[in-house]
Amino acid sequence: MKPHSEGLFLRLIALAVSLVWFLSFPSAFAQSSQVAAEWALFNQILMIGIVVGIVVFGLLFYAIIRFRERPQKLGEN
Amino acid sequence: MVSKTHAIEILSILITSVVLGYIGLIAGINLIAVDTPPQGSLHVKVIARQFYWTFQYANGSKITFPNGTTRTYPTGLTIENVLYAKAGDVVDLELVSMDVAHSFFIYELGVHIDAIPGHDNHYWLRADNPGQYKIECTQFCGTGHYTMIGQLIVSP
Repeated sequence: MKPHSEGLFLRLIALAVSLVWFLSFPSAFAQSSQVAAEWALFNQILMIGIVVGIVVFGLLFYAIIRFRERPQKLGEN
Repeated sequence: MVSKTHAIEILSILITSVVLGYIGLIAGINLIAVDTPPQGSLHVKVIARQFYWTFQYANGSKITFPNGTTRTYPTGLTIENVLYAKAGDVVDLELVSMDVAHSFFIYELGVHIDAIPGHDNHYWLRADNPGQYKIECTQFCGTGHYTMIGQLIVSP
């Protein structure tokens, strides 16, 4: 990885981490009872989990397909 | 030398663990914050008995009544079946039962919490709109269960 793209990658990670952190707060704390707040928090974490899961596993499957080692054909070598 | 496939496997496990750990940490921190009632909230101990509710306000409680007057009770106050609150203020409830299992239910506010003998349940709520709300017991607690009805009066 080139130094320029490495810096960009780190900045993207920092952005994702802070976005997840700050997005998990607002609506849960605006609720008018503890149960409603807990449900709101659950929904937020669920949504964040789904988005993060899609991104992480998407990247993972991409890496597996892109960089997999193909078995050597018989007769090679 | 780690092969490329193994490197992907190790990396994927590491990334997934870090991401799940981070989300779990956020959920835990926020859950504790959400479950803690804000400072300055009105602390009321709700005692459930066959077949009525007793509301014990903590020492120094400031209670607003429906006629608009607000009084401070340095030694607390005990009222049966009626819970007073001010619109927008957080009420920190501590529920306990003296006999059998009961359940504290306010339909309009979506509040539903069990009162179990020997176990304190903590719960906070905030009524944003003034009015009168019916408090019911939704756990069958005996022959007079249907009479176990209280009232939450929220003053503007």
